[in-house]
Formats: sequence, structure tokens, C-alpha cells
Amino acid sequence: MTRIFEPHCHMFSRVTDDYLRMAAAGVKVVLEPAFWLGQPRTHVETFIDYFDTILGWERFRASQFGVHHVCTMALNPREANDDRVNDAVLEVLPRYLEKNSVVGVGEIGLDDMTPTEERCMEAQIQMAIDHGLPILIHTPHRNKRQGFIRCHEIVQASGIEMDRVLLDHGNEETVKITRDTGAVQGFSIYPHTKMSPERMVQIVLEYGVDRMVVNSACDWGVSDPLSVPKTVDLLKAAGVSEDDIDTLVWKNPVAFFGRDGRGSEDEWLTPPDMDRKKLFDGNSVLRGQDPDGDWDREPV
Amino acid sequence: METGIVSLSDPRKVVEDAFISMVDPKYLDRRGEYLDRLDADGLAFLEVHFAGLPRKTARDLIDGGIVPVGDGRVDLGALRVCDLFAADLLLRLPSVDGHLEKLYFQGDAEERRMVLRALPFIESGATVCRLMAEAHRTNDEVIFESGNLDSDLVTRLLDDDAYNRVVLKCAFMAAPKERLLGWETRGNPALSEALFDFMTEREAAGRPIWPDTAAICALETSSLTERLGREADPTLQEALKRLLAEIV
Ligand SMILES: [Zn+2]
Repeated sequence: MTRIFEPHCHMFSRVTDDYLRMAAAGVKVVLEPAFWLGQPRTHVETFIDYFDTILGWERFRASQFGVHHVCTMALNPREANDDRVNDAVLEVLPRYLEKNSVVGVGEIGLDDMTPTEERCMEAQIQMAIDHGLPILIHTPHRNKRQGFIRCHEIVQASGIEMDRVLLDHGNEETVKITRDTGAVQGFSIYPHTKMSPERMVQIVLEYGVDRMVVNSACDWGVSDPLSVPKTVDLLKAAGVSEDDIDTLVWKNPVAFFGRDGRGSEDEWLTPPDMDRKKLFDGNSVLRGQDPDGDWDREPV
Repeated sequence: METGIVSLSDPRKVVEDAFISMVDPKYLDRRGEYLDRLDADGLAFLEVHFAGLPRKTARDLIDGGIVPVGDGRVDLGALRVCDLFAADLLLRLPSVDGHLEKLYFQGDAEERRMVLRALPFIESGATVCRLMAEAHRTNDEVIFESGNLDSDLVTRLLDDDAYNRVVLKCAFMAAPKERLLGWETRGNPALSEALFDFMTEREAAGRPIWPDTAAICALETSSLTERLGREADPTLQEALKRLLAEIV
């Protein structure tokens, strides 16, 4: 089975069946970028609790299904515009960037392309440089091309090495820009949209797999945590080599995020401790199920 | 009191000796870097960079044994290289009051483990007891062990009630009594009876009993002999006789 590093999924918003299905489909690692929760937070403390949850309980929850969990930390572009919280979140971020399961700064980037968003993005790229981390950039869904170019300009002005930059939510338009920059291009495959698995196959056939990653960006919206394995199946059917597929869904994200002792291929290929008798802060994923039972063969 | 003589069990000296004799010399440069940065930036440095210690030093256990530290004892063999770094840095703070708890509560599981493993080196009874209780409360085995086992903190600092709960948790987890340094000094009637109840509960469920039950109960048998006199249930009476026979 093709091994998969899923470099963008908000598992905080997903259910245990998603973990079961993803593990069964070859997903060994999920990367959870810190993001917004669908409505604004009004206190820095709720960010802190959320950050601690994706470092703690969510990581434990993933491990209980045999999946490694890592994350990127950031003030997301959407809430960067909110003066009730933005500066206070920037202030607590440095201590989160040293946590061992934090493998990058992200999602940062632009949403409405306001001056405040740009200021927060610049400050966080500097933090990434200071803490030796790569950056995961959310590019705007509206006005994609112009937003993409602006993100790229800010990145270049910052002086961060381009091989530490992942520009996410790309498409056929943006890939033309990214190819020349040295940055990694991410593609988020959503169901019932133009950025479908079929379209991703066409992009791979045209551009190859160098400096590319694919993800589901699954969250609380209409999204599919299996969109990477589904894309893998279509790539195989289209005759793309096993080697190229492995580069796209494993080697590229592993090399990009597994740096400086923050995770490595060896670590991520060794399954996490799945002992379901273990608790996290007294809490278990079980609801009366036998910790040693084989009830996990099939999703509910 | 300043005597000019450094005691062999001075916590700083214990850590220093451990670095010299039990830790791979390749980590000594890194130690120098950390100490310099702590000198320059103090607590602000520690609050950000404490989390990175396991990654930037090592998670291997150090090659040590039980040594005196302060008024107590610690099993250095239970510490990882990063735990020793953490203890080293924390001992250099002018005072740990407040800071230790802040680092603990802001920390992820690995940071919490390092803070807890440093407790036997810290001479601040109230903070140490609060964090030991917190480690107990979590029901997370690694956290519980880090805060309560492999030193004599539990036998030295806890009252009977809190001590008994730790021993029962060891029985539940099947942790050997030897990991509670000084266990042989702390029997009490309530503990013996609680261990007896736990044993019979396990027997009824057909589950293994804690092998150290008899050894701990042997420290204080009055509650068991007294119970034998009034126990009406024949199965329990039988179990009491068996346990008392094992003790003698
Ligand atoms: Zn996202």
C-alpha cells in the first residue's frame, strides 16, 4: 500500500471513523495546521487551549488509531484581522514553536489582503526564521491569482529560504508561478469542486511531482479526509509510477516537515503506541469498547 | 547556613556529578550553550526553550543508580538525558516558586515529565507536593510515575491518606514497591486494609494480584488481624488467613 503523509487536515473537527479510514488507506502521519474554528474567538486564552489540544489530546487520539500527529502553529489569516486577539496570540506563539510535535509555522497568509494580515504574516515568517521552521501558507480562495502573487512577494521580502516555503491551496494557474520560485506547491483536493482528484492527475502528468504535495484540507466543512488516497488510486490508473507517487505523497512532505529532530522518516514509519488501555489526562477514546477487541476493523 | 563545605548530596553537586560520570561527553557543549543563554535571558529563555530539550539533547535514559539528594534519595537511572538538563536549568533559577507550576501547566506531556523528574532536586515542599498531587490526578501512567516514583518524595512528604492512594495506584499499575524509595518505613493500618480489599477484588474478578501486597501489609498487620476477628464473609475470612499466613 502507498504510504501517505497527509500534510493538511484539521482532525480536531473530524470523527474517529475518519482516523480508522485514513489509517486503513495508508495514512501514517497527519499534519494539523492551527486554523480558525468557523467563528471568531474573542480571547487569547481560547487560542491557548486550542493549541494545547492539538498538541495533546488530538495527538493522543490519532495515536490510538495508529496515526502519527504533528502540527503547525500560527495565528491564521482570518483572525489576524481581529484586533481583540491578534497581538496577544503573536506574543504566545514563540513558546509553541519550540514544542517537539510542531513542525512548522502555519497556516499563515492572506485572506482579505488587509495591512493587518500582512503585518501578522511578516511577523510570523520572522518567527519561523528564528525557530528554524518551514512555513505553510494559506493563499486566498477569492482573488486567488492576485493573492498568491502578494503572498509570494511578502515571502521573498522576508529572506526566508524558499525551500522552507509551502504555498498551499494551489491550482493550474498558481503552479505556473510556483515552479519558478523554488517554493513547494500544495494542492487541496476538495469533493464536488474544480480541484478534484481527476484534475490533480492532469497537473501531475503535466508538471511532474518535484516540489509538490497534495492534501485534503479536511475540516468542519464539506471535505474528504480520503481525498489523498483517492488521488493516489487515480494516479496509479493513469500510469504514474509508484516511485513518483511515493515522492508526491510521502517523500516530499516528509523532507519538508521532518527537519532538525522534529520528526523523521524512521520515526514516522514506526507505528505509534496504540495501547488503548492508556489514558490521556484520564481520558480515553473508548466508549465501553474492549481495548483489545477487533471492533476497529470496520468504521461504524 | 553557609559552611563553605559542599555536601555530597547537594542537588547541584548531584546533577554536576551525573553530567560528568553518567552522560555522554558529547552533550557537554550543549549544556554550556543552555547555561549561557539562561544567564543572559533568564526565565524568558526557559519559558520558550524548555520544550525543545528532549529534541535538542536526548531521550535516552542515563546510566545511573540511587543516590542521596538533599534530604532524600533519587534513582538517577529513571531520568533521561533531557530530564537531567531540565533539573540543571531549573536549579539555577533564583527561586522556582510559581515558575515551576507555570512551566508544568504550559507544558506538553514531555515538558511535564521533565518538570516532575526535577522535583527530587527542588527544595520547595509546597510546590513539589502540589505537582505530585497533580501528576497523580491525571491518571496518565507516565506522568504519574514521573512525579511519584523512583525517589523517596512520596514516602518523605505525603501524609498517610495521600501516601496510601499512591501505593494503591502502584498496585493498580503493577509498579514494583522498590520504585517507592523508603516504602519499608511507611506501613499503616488503613493501607493494609485497602490493599487487602484490592487483592480480594482482583481475585473475585480472576485478575492478577499485586505481588507486593504481602510485603506492604507486613509493615502493619493490626487492621488485618482485627478484621479477621469480625469478618463474617467466609471467602474474605479465608483470604485474610491466607494473606496473614504469607506475612508470617
Ligand atoms: Zn486549512
